[in-house]
Amino acid sequence: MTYLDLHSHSVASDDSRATVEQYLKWINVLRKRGFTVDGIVLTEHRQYDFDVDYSQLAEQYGVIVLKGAELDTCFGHMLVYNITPGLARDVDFGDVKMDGRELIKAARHHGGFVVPAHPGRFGIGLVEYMALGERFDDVSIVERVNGGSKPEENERADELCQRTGYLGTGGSDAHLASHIGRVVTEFKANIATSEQLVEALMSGQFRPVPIAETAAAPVS
Amino acid sequence: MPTAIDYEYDHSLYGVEHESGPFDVTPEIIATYTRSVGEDNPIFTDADAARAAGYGNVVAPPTMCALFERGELPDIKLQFGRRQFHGGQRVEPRAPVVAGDRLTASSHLKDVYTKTGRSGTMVHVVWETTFRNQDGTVVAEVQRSQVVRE
Amino acid sequence: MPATAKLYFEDTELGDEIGPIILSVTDEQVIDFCSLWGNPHPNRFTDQAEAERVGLDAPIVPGIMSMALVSRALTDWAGPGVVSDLDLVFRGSVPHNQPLHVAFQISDTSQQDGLNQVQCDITMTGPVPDRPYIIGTALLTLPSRE
Repeated sequence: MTYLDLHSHSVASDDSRATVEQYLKWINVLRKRGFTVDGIVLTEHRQYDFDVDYSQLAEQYGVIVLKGAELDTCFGHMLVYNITPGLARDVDFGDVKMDGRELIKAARHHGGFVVPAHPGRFGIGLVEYMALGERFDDVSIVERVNGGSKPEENERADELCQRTGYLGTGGSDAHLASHIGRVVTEFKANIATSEQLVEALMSGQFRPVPIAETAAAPVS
Repeated sequence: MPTAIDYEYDHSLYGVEHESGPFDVTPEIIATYTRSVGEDNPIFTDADAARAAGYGNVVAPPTMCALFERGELPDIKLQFGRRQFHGGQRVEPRAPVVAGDRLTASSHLKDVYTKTGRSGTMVHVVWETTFRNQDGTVVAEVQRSQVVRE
Repeated sequence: MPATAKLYFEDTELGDEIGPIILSVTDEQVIDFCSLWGNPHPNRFTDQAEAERVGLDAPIVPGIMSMALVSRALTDWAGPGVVSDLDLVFRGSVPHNQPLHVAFQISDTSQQDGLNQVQCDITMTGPVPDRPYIIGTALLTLPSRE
């Protein structure tokens, strides 16, 4: 079992005010309070830095740190996991109007995986585009619980999953240290790398859980 | 290095310091500021208490410099959007500002970039300003992010 | 030991939660504040019709005034003269005449080069903390009891 926060932003994102080390310190605060968070995925806005290496920090604090991205598309924000140089070559991460459907295909082609973020969010979530008649045949998983969304927006994401059969992940969407881990995804698999994260997503063996529900979880 | 965006604006503003001021920090401005936000610590409201605490005069609250920056920044002539709102503000106080100080400001354009959100496409315009007092001492570094939306 | 000290470094710990400190501002306070930067009443911060003209439901508290309110809450908690960096993101409209809940959470502490510093997360919300009007951080430089 692995509990990962699949959506977080460090100071590399323009609107976040948390360093990666502050996130890792806070996860240890959460652990002292009895909660379980095994790791985080940093999903910086509109960018991916191949050079930055968090392995030393990860080891120091005993937290898995993976890297992804949250990209702006013409169909809302999309979380991208297991980003490869090939994907970064084919997709302009800074293009806020990129075709989201093409991004999903490109990520899959390069061994990555795309999960539409906060699909119930007003004005920008996938639900809005589906209501306009857009189809997303390549989507199978969405972010069902987003820690930064309004309750009614998460309800819309929940309804979307019930209606379509989409599977759902959970992520804090943290922009502050103390918000990390407030929503996580519980995976049946043990995950330590981005490749394993993609495999675990494709297995369908996961569910979103609020931090409170991790309190009784066995330590992994 | 400015971020590339799809909308036209005046790139010549990069690398240019825009000077403004002087701004006189009067006891009246401090009094109105503190009264309007309920800041009632005596060093901000009482000159004698401020002097007893080691300051030269009644002290301006640490974010007051941001007041002087407003309205002083050049128009970047952005070819986008109709509505503006204040997206973010950062203040790093470096030295106390007290009544009687005379401040000047030096501002430069830091970045202009695009993102999307609940209200559609937004362009963020980020300015950095350094405030100095009459002795040339830096008293605050201020960053302001103005957001223009469709 | 500064005469104005209210909070000492030794009193802080990573994970501490402070508040909420509950504030509110009246229409008159906003009018007063706007007069300071040459924005006389009526304007979108002080007048219903002007606010609606620019697409707002009601007049809002200006960003720099909201920042001043957060700064005041920091003074209330930690004392004056301790803020080394205050960095805020304005995420939603801050209303007049409503309770504003300002909360701090200590996210880091450090003692280096003779400086005792505490980093804290900041949120300002309404009474229902579902989505903050403001998020941000403050870096405080605190006195030591030693």
